[in-house]
Amino acid sequence: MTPPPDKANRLPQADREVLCYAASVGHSVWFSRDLCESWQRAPTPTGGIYNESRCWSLATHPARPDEVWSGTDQGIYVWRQSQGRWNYMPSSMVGLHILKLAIAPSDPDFIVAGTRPAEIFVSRDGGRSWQCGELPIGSECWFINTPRVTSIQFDPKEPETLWVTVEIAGIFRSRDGGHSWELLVEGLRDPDVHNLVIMDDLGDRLILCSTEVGLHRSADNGASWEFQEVPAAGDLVYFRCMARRADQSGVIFMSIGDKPSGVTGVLLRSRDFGASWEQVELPGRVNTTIWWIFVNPQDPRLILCNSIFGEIFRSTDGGETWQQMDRFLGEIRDIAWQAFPKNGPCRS
Amino acid sequence: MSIAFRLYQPHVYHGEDDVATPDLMVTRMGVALAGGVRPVSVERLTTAVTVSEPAGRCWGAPAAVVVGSSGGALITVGAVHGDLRCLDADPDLALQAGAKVMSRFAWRLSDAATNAEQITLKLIEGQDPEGTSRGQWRLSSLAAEHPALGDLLADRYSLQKGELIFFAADHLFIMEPWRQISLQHPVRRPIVHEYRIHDPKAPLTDGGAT
Repeated sequence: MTPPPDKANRLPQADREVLCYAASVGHSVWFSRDLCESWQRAPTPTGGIYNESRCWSLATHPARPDEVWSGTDQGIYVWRQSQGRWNYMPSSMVGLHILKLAIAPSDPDFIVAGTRPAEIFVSRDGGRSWQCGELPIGSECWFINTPRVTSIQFDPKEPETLWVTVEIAGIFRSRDGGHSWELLVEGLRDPDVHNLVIMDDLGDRLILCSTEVGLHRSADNGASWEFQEVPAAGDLVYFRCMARRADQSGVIFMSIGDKPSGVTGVLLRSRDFGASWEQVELPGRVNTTIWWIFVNPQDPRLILCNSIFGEIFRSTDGGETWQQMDRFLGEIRDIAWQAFPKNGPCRS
Repeated sequence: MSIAFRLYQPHVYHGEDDVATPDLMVTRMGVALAGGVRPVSVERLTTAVTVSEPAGRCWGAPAAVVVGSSGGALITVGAVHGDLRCLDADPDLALQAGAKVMSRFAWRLSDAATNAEQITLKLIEGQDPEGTSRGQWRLSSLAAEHPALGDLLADRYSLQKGELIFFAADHLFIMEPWRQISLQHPVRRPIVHEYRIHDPKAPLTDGGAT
Protein backbone atom coordinates (compact mmCIF):
# COMPACT_ATOMS: atom_id res chain seq x y z
CA MET A 1 0.00 0.00 0.00
CA THR A 2 1.16 3.53 -0.69
CA PRO A 3 -0.17 5.91 1.91
CA PRO A 4 -0.25 9.56 1.03
CA PRO A 5 3.13 11.21 1.43
CA ASP A 6 3.54 12.46 4.94
CA LYS A 7 6.56 14.62 5.22
CA ALA A 8 5.99 15.02 8.93
CA ASN A 9 7.16 11.44 9.39
CA ARG A 10 10.37 11.94 7.47
CA LEU A 11 13.60 12.06 9.38
CA PRO A 12 16.88 13.37 7.99
CA GLN A 13 19.24 10.46 7.40
CA ALA A 14 21.69 11.74 9.98
CA ASP A 15 19.04 11.77 12.68
CA ARG A 16 17.46 8.41 12.10
CA GLU A 17 18.02 4.74 12.49
CA VAL A 18 16.43 2.29 10.12
CA LEU A 19 15.27 -1.21 10.93
CA CYS A 20 14.51 -3.55 8.06
CA TYR A 21 12.38 -6.66 8.43
CA ALA A 22 11.94 -9.76 6.28
CA ALA A 23 9.15 -12.26 6.95
CA SER A 24 10.34 -15.73 6.05
CA VAL A 25 8.55 -19.01 5.60
CA GLY A 26 10.51 -21.26 7.90
CA HIS A 27 12.77 -18.85 9.75
CA SER A 28 10.38 -16.37 11.38
CA VAL A 29 11.22 -12.67 10.95
CA TRP A 30 14.69 -11.37 10.20
CA PHE A 31 15.94 -7.94 11.34
CA SER A 32 18.60 -5.74 9.75
CA ARG A 33 20.11 -2.58 11.22
CA ASP A 34 22.37 -1.86 8.23
CA LEU A 35 19.93 -1.56 5.36
CA CYS A 36 19.80 -5.29 4.58
CA GLU A 37 23.57 -5.87 4.55
CA SER A 38 23.37 -8.28 7.48
CA TRP A 39 20.43 -9.99 9.18
CA GLN A 40 19.66 -11.43 12.58
CA ARG A 41 16.60 -12.97 14.18
CA ALA A 42 15.19 -12.24 17.61
CA PRO A 43 17.12 -14.01 20.36
CA THR A 44 15.31 -17.19 21.36
CA PRO A 45 15.40 -16.54 25.13
CA THR A 46 12.90 -13.73 24.58
CA GLY A 47 10.28 -16.23 23.44
CA GLY A 48 7.48 -15.18 21.17
CA ILE A 49 7.63 -16.47 17.63
CA TYR A 50 9.07 -19.93 17.30
CA ASN A 51 12.31 -19.41 15.44
CA GLU A 52 11.39 -21.68 12.54
CA SER A 53 7.90 -20.24 12.15
CA ARG A 54 6.23 -19.50 8.87
CA CYS A 55 5.71 -15.74 8.81
CA TRP A 56 3.77 -14.41 5.85
CA SER A 57 3.20 -10.75 6.43
CA LEU A 58 4.50 -7.58 8.06
CA ALA A 59 2.95 -4.24 8.94
CA THR A 60 4.31 -1.06 10.46
CA HIS A 61 2.94 2.39 11.22
CA PRO A 62 4.99 5.59 11.48
CA ALA A 63 3.12 6.65 14.60
CA ARG A 64 4.38 3.52 16.37
CA PRO A 65 7.92 2.94 15.19
CA ASP A 66 8.48 0.75 18.23
CA GLU A 67 6.29 -1.95 16.68
CA VAL A 68 6.29 -4.33 13.78
CA TRP A 69 3.42 -6.75 13.27
CA SER A 70 3.68 -10.17 11.69
CA GLY A 71 1.00 -12.56 10.48
CA THR A 72 2.02 -16.19 10.80
CA ASP A 73 0.58 -19.70 10.75
CA GLN A 74 0.22 -19.46 14.50
CA GLY A 75 -1.52 -16.14 14.90
CA ILE A 76 -0.44 -12.53 15.02
CA TYR A 77 2.66 -11.34 16.82
CA VAL A 78 3.90 -7.83 17.56
CA TRP A 79 7.56 -7.04 18.07
CA ARG A 80 8.20 -4.13 20.40
CA GLN A 81 11.71 -2.89 20.05
CA SER A 82 11.65 -1.35 23.50
CA GLN A 83 10.81 -4.76 24.99
CA GLY A 84 13.05 -6.70 22.65
CA ARG A 85 10.53 -9.48 22.16
CA TRP A 86 7.60 -10.79 20.15
CA ASN A 87 4.23 -10.49 21.86
CA TYR A 88 1.42 -12.88 20.92
CA MET A 89 -1.90 -11.16 20.11
CA PRO A 90 -4.86 -13.49 20.78
CA SER A 91 -7.39 -13.63 17.95
CA SER A 92 -9.75 -16.07 16.31
CA MET A 93 -7.36 -16.33 13.36
CA VAL A 94 -5.27 -19.03 14.98
CA GLY A 95 -5.07 -21.95 12.59
CA LEU A 96 -5.38 -19.75 9.52
CA HIS A 97 -2.50 -18.49 7.44
CA ILE A 98 -2.40 -14.73 8.07
CA LEU A 99 -1.11 -13.76 4.67
CA LYS A 100 -1.57 -9.99 4.76
CA LEU A 101 -1.64 -7.32 7.44
CA ALA A 102 -2.30 -3.62 6.95
CA ILE A 103 -2.54 -0.71 9.37
CA ALA A 104 -4.62 2.32 8.43
CA PRO A 105 -2.46 5.37 7.71
CA SER A 106 -5.04 7.51 9.51
CA ASP A 107 -5.35 5.34 12.62
CA PRO A 108 -2.73 2.97 14.02
CA ASP A 109 -5.45 1.11 15.95
CA PHE A 110 -7.30 0.22 12.73
CA ILE A 111 -5.70 -3.03 11.62
CA VAL A 112 -6.84 -5.42 8.90
CA ALA A 113 -5.73 -9.01 8.38
CA GLY A 114 -6.30 -11.21 5.35
CA THR A 115 -6.08 -14.96 5.58
CA ARG A 116 -6.15 -18.30 3.87
CA PRO A 117 -8.94 -19.50 3.65
CA ALA A 118 -9.89 -16.05 2.40
CA GLU A 119 -11.44 -14.02 5.18
CA ILE A 120 -10.91 -10.46 6.36
CA PHE A 121 -10.53 -9.71 10.06
CA VAL A 122 -10.67 -6.14 11.36
CA SER A 123 -9.52 -4.68 14.64
CA ARG A 124 -10.38 -1.12 15.67
CA ASP A 125 -8.63 -1.28 19.03
CA GLY A 126 -5.04 -1.97 18.17
CA GLY A 127 -5.43 -5.74 17.90
CA ARG A 128 -7.15 -6.38 21.23
CA SER A 129 -10.31 -7.63 19.51
CA TRP A 130 -11.08 -8.72 15.96
CA GLN A 131 -14.24 -9.03 13.88
CA CYS A 132 -14.59 -11.20 10.81
CA GLY A 133 -16.03 -9.36 7.80
CA GLU A 134 -18.66 -10.85 5.55
CA LEU A 135 -16.60 -11.49 2.45
CA PRO A 136 -18.93 -12.94 -0.22
CA ILE A 137 -16.59 -15.66 -1.34
CA GLY A 138 -16.69 -19.39 -1.94
CA SER A 139 -14.83 -21.90 0.14
CA GLU A 140 -13.19 -23.47 -2.92
CA CYS A 141 -11.63 -22.26 -6.14
CA TRP A 142 -9.97 -23.82 -9.13
CA PHE A 143 -6.22 -24.42 -9.35
CA ILE A 144 -5.25 -23.52 -5.78
CA ASN A 145 -8.24 -25.20 -4.09
CA THR A 146 -8.61 -22.61 -1.32
CA PRO A 147 -8.96 -18.86 -1.98
CA ARG A 148 -6.52 -16.55 -0.21
CA VAL A 149 -6.04 -12.86 0.33
CA THR A 150 -3.19 -11.35 -1.69
CA SER A 151 -3.36 -7.66 -0.76
CA ILE A 152 -5.14 -5.15 1.48
CA GLN A 153 -5.36 -1.44 0.70
CA PHE A 154 -6.86 1.47 2.56
CA ASP A 155 -8.59 3.91 0.24
CA PRO A 156 -6.49 7.10 -0.05
CA LYS A 157 -9.56 9.33 0.32
CA GLU A 158 -12.19 7.43 2.31
CA PRO A 159 -10.92 6.20 5.69
CA GLU A 160 -13.66 3.55 6.02
CA THR A 161 -13.16 2.14 2.53
CA LEU A 162 -10.99 -0.94 2.11
CA TRP A 163 -9.84 -2.74 -1.00
CA VAL A 164 -8.80 -6.38 -1.01
CA THR A 165 -7.57 -8.71 -3.72
CA VAL A 166 -8.18 -12.43 -3.47
CA GLU A 167 -6.85 -15.27 -5.55
CA ILE A 168 -8.76 -16.79 -7.06
CA ALA A 169 -11.87 -14.69 -6.71
CA GLY A 170 -11.38 -11.06 -7.65
CA ILE A 171 -11.33 -7.57 -6.18
CA PHE A 172 -13.47 -6.75 -3.15
CA ARG A 173 -14.34 -3.35 -1.71
CA SER A 174 -15.84 -2.47 1.64
CA ARG A 175 -17.21 0.98 2.39
CA ASP A 176 -18.03 0.30 6.03
CA GLY A 177 -14.66 -0.47 7.51
CA GLY A 178 -14.55 -4.12 6.47
CA HIS A 179 -17.96 -5.32 7.60
CA SER A 180 -19.68 -5.82 4.23
CA TRP A 181 -18.01 -6.31 0.87
CA GLU A 182 -18.82 -6.10 -2.83
CA LEU A 183 -17.11 -8.00 -5.64
CA LEU A 184 -15.71 -5.90 -8.51
CA VAL A 185 -14.71 -8.08 -11.46
CA GLU A 186 -16.48 -6.58 -14.46
CA GLY A 187 -14.05 -6.72 -17.36
CA LEU A 188 -11.28 -8.62 -15.57
CA ARG A 189 -9.81 -11.28 -17.84
CA ASP A 190 -9.01 -13.45 -14.84
CA PRO A 191 -10.17 -13.33 -11.20
CA ASP A 192 -6.72 -14.42 -10.05
CA VAL A 193 -5.79 -10.97 -8.75
CA HIS A 194 -2.75 -9.92 -6.75
CA ASN A 195 -2.43 -6.23 -6.07
CA LEU A 196 -3.79 -2.72 -6.62
CA VAL A 197 -2.46 0.81 -6.92
CA ILE A 198 -5.05 3.51 -6.29
CA MET A 199 -4.26 7.02 -7.53
CA ASP A 200 -6.18 10.30 -7.37
CA ASP A 201 -3.47 12.60 -8.68
CA LEU A 202 -4.78 13.11 -12.19
CA GLY A 203 -8.18 14.43 -11.24
CA ASP A 204 -10.21 11.32 -11.86
CA ARG A 205 -9.36 8.23 -9.90
CA LEU A 206 -7.25 5.61 -11.62
CA ILE A 207 -6.74 2.10 -10.23
CA LEU A 208 -4.27 -0.44 -11.55
CA CYS A 209 -4.68 -4.15 -10.85
CA SER A 210 -2.14 -6.93 -11.39
CA THR A 211 -3.48 -10.37 -12.26
CA GLU A 212 -2.34 -13.81 -13.30
CA VAL A 213 -2.73 -12.79 -16.95
CA GLY A 214 -1.64 -9.17 -17.00
CA LEU A 215 -2.39 -5.61 -15.98
CA HIS A 216 -5.85 -4.07 -15.77
CA ARG A 217 -6.98 -0.52 -15.10
CA SER A 218 -10.19 1.04 -13.90
CA ALA A 219 -11.25 4.63 -14.49
CA ASP A 220 -14.60 4.28 -12.69
CA ASN A 221 -13.46 3.43 -9.17
CA GLY A 222 -13.46 -0.32 -9.74
CA ALA A 223 -16.88 -0.68 -11.36
CA SER A 224 -15.24 -1.99 -14.52
CA TRP A 225 -11.77 -3.01 -15.60
CA GLU A 226 -9.93 -2.83 -18.87
CA PHE A 227 -6.95 -4.93 -19.91
CA GLN A 228 -3.76 -2.97 -20.53
CA GLU A 229 -0.99 -4.18 -22.77
CA VAL A 230 2.49 -3.97 -21.23
CA PRO A 231 5.04 -4.60 -23.99
CA ALA A 232 7.94 -4.25 -21.55
CA ALA A 233 6.85 -7.49 -19.89
CA GLY A 234 8.05 -9.48 -22.89
CA ASP A 235 7.00 -13.11 -22.61
CA LEU A 236 6.27 -12.93 -18.89
CA VAL A 237 2.59 -12.89 -17.99
CA TYR A 238 2.39 -13.36 -14.22
CA PHE A 239 1.82 -9.84 -12.88
CA ARG A 240 2.27 -9.91 -9.14
CA CYS A 241 3.18 -6.95 -6.95
CA MET A 242 2.83 -3.21 -7.48
CA ALA A 243 3.92 -0.27 -5.37
CA ARG A 244 3.79 3.42 -6.01
CA ARG A 245 6.84 5.35 -4.92
CA ALA A 246 5.84 7.20 -1.77
CA ASP A 247 5.80 10.62 -3.37
CA GLN A 248 3.71 12.43 -5.95
CA SER A 249 5.91 11.73 -8.95
CA GLY A 250 3.71 9.10 -10.59
CA VAL A 251 6.48 6.51 -10.42
CA ILE A 252 5.15 2.97 -9.94
CA PHE A 253 6.96 -0.34 -9.73
CA MET A 254 5.48 -3.65 -10.81
CA SER A 255 6.86 -7.19 -10.68
CA ILE A 256 6.28 -9.81 -13.33
CA GLY A 257 7.42 -13.40 -13.39
CA ASP A 258 6.93 -16.60 -15.32
CA LYS A 259 4.64 -18.04 -12.64
CA PRO A 260 4.51 -18.53 -8.85
CA SER A 261 7.06 -19.12 -7.56
CA GLY A 262 8.62 -19.28 -10.97
CA VAL A 263 12.26 -19.34 -11.98
CA THR A 264 12.69 -15.78 -13.15
CA GLY A 265 11.17 -12.35 -12.92
CA VAL A 266 11.59 -8.71 -13.79
CA LEU A 267 10.81 -5.38 -12.20
CA LEU A 268 9.09 -2.75 -14.31
CA ARG A 269 8.88 0.98 -13.68
CA SER A 270 6.37 3.51 -14.90
CA ARG A 271 7.03 7.24 -14.74
CA ASP A 272 3.56 8.26 -15.93
CA PHE A 273 1.07 6.72 -13.46
CA GLY A 274 1.09 3.36 -15.21
CA ALA A 275 0.49 4.46 -18.78
CA SER A 276 3.82 3.10 -20.03
CA TRP A 277 6.41 0.79 -18.51
CA GLU A 278 10.12 0.09 -18.79
CA GLN A 279 12.30 -2.69 -17.37
CA VAL A 280 14.40 -1.82 -14.37
CA GLU A 281 17.95 -3.08 -14.44
CA LEU A 282 18.33 -5.43 -11.50
CA PRO A 283 21.79 -6.86 -10.83
CA GLY A 284 22.13 -10.57 -11.40
CA ARG A 285 19.39 -12.96 -12.37
CA VAL A 286 16.17 -12.86 -10.37
CA ASN A 287 15.44 -16.40 -9.16
CA THR A 288 11.62 -16.16 -8.87
CA THR A 289 8.85 -13.69 -9.40
CA ILE A 290 9.55 -10.57 -7.29
CA TRP A 291 7.04 -11.17 -4.50
CA TRP A 292 6.90 -7.90 -2.62
CA ILE A 293 7.94 -4.30 -3.14
CA PHE A 294 8.06 -2.05 -0.09
CA VAL A 295 7.90 1.73 -0.20
CA ASN A 296 7.67 4.02 2.79
CA PRO A 297 6.71 7.71 2.95
CA GLN A 298 9.33 8.13 5.68
CA ASP A 299 11.82 8.15 2.80
CA PRO A 300 10.63 7.64 -0.80
CA ARG A 301 14.21 7.00 -1.87
CA LEU A 302 14.64 3.81 0.15
CA ILE A 303 12.80 0.96 -1.58
CA LEU A 304 13.14 -2.78 -0.96
CA CYS A 305 11.92 -5.78 -2.90
CA ASN A 306 12.44 -9.51 -2.66
CA SER A 307 12.07 -12.69 -4.62
CA ILE A 308 10.33 -15.64 -2.99
CA PHE A 309 13.57 -17.58 -2.77
CA GLY A 310 15.46 -15.14 -0.64
CA GLU A 311 16.93 -12.50 -2.92
CA ILE A 312 16.73 -8.96 -1.60
CA PHE A 313 17.14 -5.87 -3.75
CA ARG A 314 17.61 -2.36 -2.36
CA SER A 315 17.39 1.05 -3.92
CA THR A 316 18.43 4.21 -2.11
CA ASP A 317 17.65 6.58 -4.97
CA GLY A 318 13.94 6.05 -5.42
CA GLY A 319 14.26 3.03 -7.66
CA GLU A 320 16.62 4.46 -10.26
CA THR A 321 19.39 2.01 -9.40
CA TRP A 322 19.33 -1.22 -7.40
CA GLN A 323 21.75 -3.35 -5.45
CA GLN A 324 21.37 -7.05 -4.76
CA MET A 325 22.20 -7.87 -1.17
CA ASP A 326 24.76 -10.59 -0.49
CA ARG A 327 22.67 -12.45 2.06
CA PHE A 328 19.92 -14.82 0.89
CA LEU A 329 17.32 -15.63 3.54
CA GLY A 330 15.56 -18.74 2.27
CA GLU A 331 11.92 -18.18 1.44
CA ILE A 332 10.70 -14.61 1.97
CA ARG A 333 7.10 -13.44 1.61
CA ASP A 334 7.22 -9.87 2.86
CA ILE A 335 9.77 -7.16 3.47
CA ALA A 336 9.53 -3.76 5.19
CA TRP A 337 11.50 -1.04 6.92
CA GLN A 338 10.83 1.83 9.24
CA ALA A 339 12.82 4.69 10.70
CA PHE A 340 12.94 6.03 14.21
CA PRO A 341 14.95 8.84 15.80
CA LYS A 342 18.50 8.06 16.81
CA ASN A 343 18.73 7.71 20.56
CA GLY A 344 14.94 7.76 20.66
CA PRO A 345 12.70 5.51 22.73
CA CYS A 346 12.93 2.65 20.21
CA ARG A 347 16.67 2.24 20.55
CA SER A 348 17.51 -1.03 22.26
CA MET B 1 -19.07 -10.56 13.48
CA SER B 2 -16.97 -12.55 15.85
CA ILE B 3 -16.28 -16.01 14.60
CA ALA B 4 -15.61 -19.46 15.99
CA PHE B 5 -14.51 -22.15 13.62
CA ARG B 6 -12.68 -25.37 13.15
CA LEU B 7 -10.50 -25.76 10.09
CA TYR B 8 -11.44 -28.86 8.08
CA GLN B 9 -8.84 -29.88 5.51
CA PRO B 10 -10.39 -32.65 3.42
CA HIS B 11 -9.00 -34.62 0.52
CA VAL B 12 -11.98 -34.75 -1.79
CA TYR B 13 -12.02 -37.62 -4.28
CA HIS B 14 -14.26 -36.79 -7.20
CA GLY B 15 -12.63 -39.48 -9.32
CA GLU B 16 -9.44 -41.48 -9.24
CA ASP B 17 -7.45 -38.62 -10.73
CA ASP B 18 -9.48 -35.70 -9.44
CA VAL B 19 -8.59 -34.71 -5.91
CA ALA B 20 -9.32 -31.32 -4.39
CA THR B 21 -7.83 -30.23 -1.07
CA PRO B 22 -9.59 -27.08 0.08
CA ASP B 23 -9.32 -25.74 3.62
CA LEU B 24 -12.85 -25.19 4.92
CA MET B 25 -13.76 -23.11 7.93
CA VAL B 26 -16.52 -25.00 9.72
CA THR B 27 -18.53 -22.35 11.51
CA ARG B 28 -21.77 -24.15 12.33
CA MET B 29 -22.25 -27.77 13.25
CA GLY B 30 -25.20 -29.97 14.10
CA VAL B 31 -26.08 -33.55 14.89
CA ALA B 32 -29.21 -35.10 13.42
CA LEU B 33 -30.89 -36.96 16.23
CA ALA B 34 -34.45 -38.12 16.73
CA GLY B 35 -35.81 -36.35 13.71
CA GLY B 36 -34.20 -32.97 14.31
CA VAL B 37 -30.78 -31.35 13.97
CA ARG B 38 -29.32 -30.25 17.29
CA PRO B 39 -26.60 -27.58 17.22
CA VAL B 40 -23.27 -28.58 18.69
CA SER B 41 -20.18 -26.48 19.37
CA VAL B 42 -17.64 -26.59 16.55
CA GLU B 43 -15.01 -26.98 19.26
CA ARG B 44 -16.04 -30.65 19.47
CA LEU B 45 -14.96 -31.36 15.90
CA THR B 46 -11.83 -33.43 15.39
CA THR B 47 -10.14 -35.45 12.67
CA ALA B 48 -7.70 -36.98 15.12
CA VAL B 49 -6.88 -40.67 15.10
CA THR B 50 -6.65 -40.76 18.89
CA VAL B 51 -9.57 -39.26 20.77
CA SER B 52 -9.63 -38.71 24.50
CA GLU B 53 -12.92 -39.88 26.07
CA PRO B 54 -13.69 -41.38 29.49
CA ALA B 55 -13.91 -45.14 29.25
CA GLY B 56 -17.17 -46.82 30.02
CA ARG B 57 -19.53 -43.89 29.73
CA CYS B 58 -19.46 -42.60 26.12
CA TRP B 59 -21.32 -43.94 23.17
CA GLY B 60 -20.01 -43.43 19.65
CA ALA B 61 -22.55 -43.71 16.88
CA PRO B 62 -21.15 -44.00 13.36
CA ALA B 63 -22.33 -41.23 11.10
CA ALA B 64 -22.43 -39.92 7.59
CA VAL B 65 -21.21 -36.32 7.67
CA VAL B 66 -22.21 -33.68 5.13
CA VAL B 67 -20.28 -30.42 4.80
CA GLY B 68 -21.35 -27.35 2.85
CA SER B 69 -18.76 -26.14 0.36
CA SER B 70 -18.89 -23.77 -2.58
CA GLY B 71 -17.38 -26.44 -4.83
CA GLY B 72 -20.25 -28.80 -4.03
CA ALA B 73 -21.21 -30.33 -0.69
CA LEU B 74 -18.99 -33.07 0.69
CA ILE B 75 -19.87 -36.34 2.38
CA THR B 76 -17.61 -38.37 4.61
CA VAL B 77 -17.69 -40.65 7.65
CA GLY B 78 -17.51 -39.81 11.29
CA ALA B 79 -18.78 -40.63 14.71
CA VAL B 80 -20.94 -38.85 17.22
CA HIS B 81 -19.65 -39.33 20.75
CA GLY B 82 -21.81 -38.49 23.70
CA ASP B 83 -22.28 -39.19 27.36
CA LEU B 84 -24.75 -42.02 27.85
CA ARG B 85 -25.43 -41.15 31.47
CA CYS B 86 -27.32 -37.96 30.66
CA LEU B 87 -28.73 -38.80 27.25
CA ASP B 88 -32.32 -39.15 28.41
CA ALA B 89 -32.30 -36.29 30.90
CA ASP B 90 -30.47 -33.74 28.75
CA PRO B 91 -29.66 -34.86 25.21
CA ASP B 92 -28.02 -31.54 24.32
CA LEU B 93 -25.62 -31.86 27.22
CA ALA B 94 -25.01 -35.50 26.31
CA LEU B 95 -24.06 -34.45 22.78
CA GLN B 96 -21.85 -31.55 23.83
CA ALA B 97 -19.95 -33.87 26.15
CA GLY B 98 -18.36 -35.94 23.43
CA ALA B 99 -16.09 -35.46 20.44
CA LYS B 100 -17.45 -35.31 16.91
CA VAL B 101 -14.98 -37.33 14.89
CA MET B 102 -14.67 -37.19 11.11
CA SER B 103 -12.40 -38.38 8.36
CA ARG B 104 -10.20 -36.08 6.29
CA PHE B 105 -11.18 -37.99 3.15
CA ALA B 106 -14.45 -37.15 1.44
CA TRP B 107 -16.52 -37.51 -1.70
CA ARG B 108 -18.72 -34.95 -3.32
CA LEU B 109 -22.26 -35.46 -2.08
CA SER B 110 -23.40 -35.60 -5.70
CA ASP B 111 -21.34 -38.77 -6.13
CA ALA B 112 -23.18 -40.38 -3.25
CA ALA B 113 -26.67 -39.21 -4.11
CA THR B 114 -27.07 -41.47 -7.10
CA ASN B 115 -25.82 -44.50 -5.19
CA ALA B 116 -27.53 -44.12 -1.85
CA GLU B 117 -28.99 -47.63 -2.07
CA GLN B 118 -25.54 -49.17 -2.52
CA ILE B 119 -23.47 -47.01 -0.17
CA THR B 120 -22.98 -48.57 3.23
CA LEU B 121 -21.85 -47.07 6.51
CA LYS B 122 -19.91 -49.68 8.51
CA LEU B 123 -18.59 -49.86 12.05
CA ILE B 124 -15.94 -52.30 13.21
CA GLU B 125 -14.52 -52.01 16.71
CA GLY B 126 -12.73 -53.93 19.38
CA GLN B 127 -9.76 -53.93 21.67
CA ASP B 128 -7.39 -53.84 18.70
CA PRO B 129 -7.47 -53.76 14.91
CA GLU B 130 -8.82 -57.32 14.87
CA GLY B 131 -12.18 -55.84 15.76
CA THR B 132 -15.67 -57.13 15.18
CA SER B 133 -18.30 -55.75 12.88
CA ARG B 134 -20.87 -53.89 14.98
CA GLY B 135 -23.25 -52.96 12.24
CA GLN B 136 -23.83 -51.54 8.80
CA TRP B 137 -26.39 -49.08 7.56
CA ARG B 138 -27.41 -48.21 4.02
CA LEU B 139 -27.14 -44.53 3.27
CA SER B 140 -30.71 -44.68 2.03
CA SER B 141 -31.88 -46.04 5.36
CA LEU B 142 -30.02 -43.25 7.17
CA ALA B 143 -31.79 -40.82 4.88
CA ALA B 144 -35.12 -42.38 5.77
CA GLU B 145 -34.33 -41.90 9.43
CA HIS B 146 -33.05 -38.34 8.98
CA PRO B 147 -35.24 -36.32 6.59
CA ALA B 148 -32.58 -33.61 6.28
CA LEU B 149 -30.15 -36.14 4.79
CA GLY B 150 -32.82 -37.28 2.37
CA ASP B 151 -33.38 -33.67 1.34
CA LEU B 152 -29.63 -33.10 0.87
CA LEU B 153 -29.25 -36.24 -1.23
CA ALA B 154 -32.26 -35.28 -3.33
CA ASP B 155 -30.95 -31.73 -3.73
CA ARG B 156 -34.06 -30.28 -2.11
CA TYR B 157 -31.92 -28.61 0.50
CA SER B 158 -28.32 -27.41 0.64
CA LEU B 159 -25.90 -26.42 3.34
CA GLN B 160 -24.14 -23.07 3.31
CA LYS B 161 -20.36 -23.14 3.15
CA GLY B 162 -19.01 -23.91 6.57
CA GLU B 163 -22.12 -25.74 7.78
CA LEU B 164 -21.72 -29.37 8.79
CA ILE B 165 -24.19 -32.02 9.95
CA PHE B 166 -23.54 -35.46 11.42
CA PHE B 167 -26.24 -37.96 10.48
CA ALA B 168 -25.77 -40.62 13.10
CA ALA B 169 -26.82 -44.24 12.94
CA ASP B 170 -28.95 -45.51 15.77
CA HIS B 171 -26.14 -47.12 17.75
CA LEU B 172 -26.12 -46.14 21.42
CA PHE B 173 -23.47 -48.48 22.77
CA ILE B 174 -20.37 -47.91 24.85
CA MET B 175 -17.34 -47.54 22.59
CA GLU B 176 -14.46 -49.97 22.45
CA PRO B 177 -10.84 -48.75 22.34
CA TRP B 178 -10.24 -49.27 18.60
CA ARG B 179 -12.75 -48.23 15.96
CA GLN B 180 -12.99 -48.27 12.19
CA ILE B 181 -15.83 -46.44 10.47
CA SER B 182 -16.20 -46.53 6.71
CA LEU B 183 -18.40 -45.58 3.81
CA GLN B 184 -18.32 -48.22 1.09
CA HIS B 185 -19.20 -47.03 -2.40
CA PRO B 186 -19.86 -49.31 -5.39
CA VAL B 187 -17.54 -47.26 -7.60
CA ARG B 188 -15.53 -44.78 -5.57
CA ARG B 189 -12.69 -45.68 -3.25
CA PRO B 190 -14.05 -46.27 0.27
CA ILE B 191 -13.67 -43.64 2.95
CA VAL B 192 -12.21 -45.18 6.08
CA HIS B 193 -11.46 -43.52 9.40
CA GLU B 194 -9.69 -45.55 12.09
CA TYR B 195 -9.10 -44.16 15.52
CA ARG B 196 -8.40 -45.11 19.09
CA ILE B 197 -10.05 -44.04 22.28
CA HIS B 198 -7.66 -42.81 24.93
CA ASP B 199 -9.00 -42.88 28.44
CA PRO B 200 -8.04 -39.65 30.22
CA LYS B 201 -8.39 -41.44 33.54
CA ALA B 202 -5.15 -43.25 32.85
CA PRO B 203 -2.48 -42.32 35.43
CA LEU B 204 -0.76 -39.01 34.74
CA THR B 205 2.61 -40.26 35.88
CA ASP B 206 4.31 -43.62 36.18
CA GLY B 207 3.52 -43.61 39.86
CA GLY B 208 -0.13 -42.93 39.25
CA ALA B 209 -2.15 -39.85 40.06
CA THR B 210 -3.04 -39.35 43.68
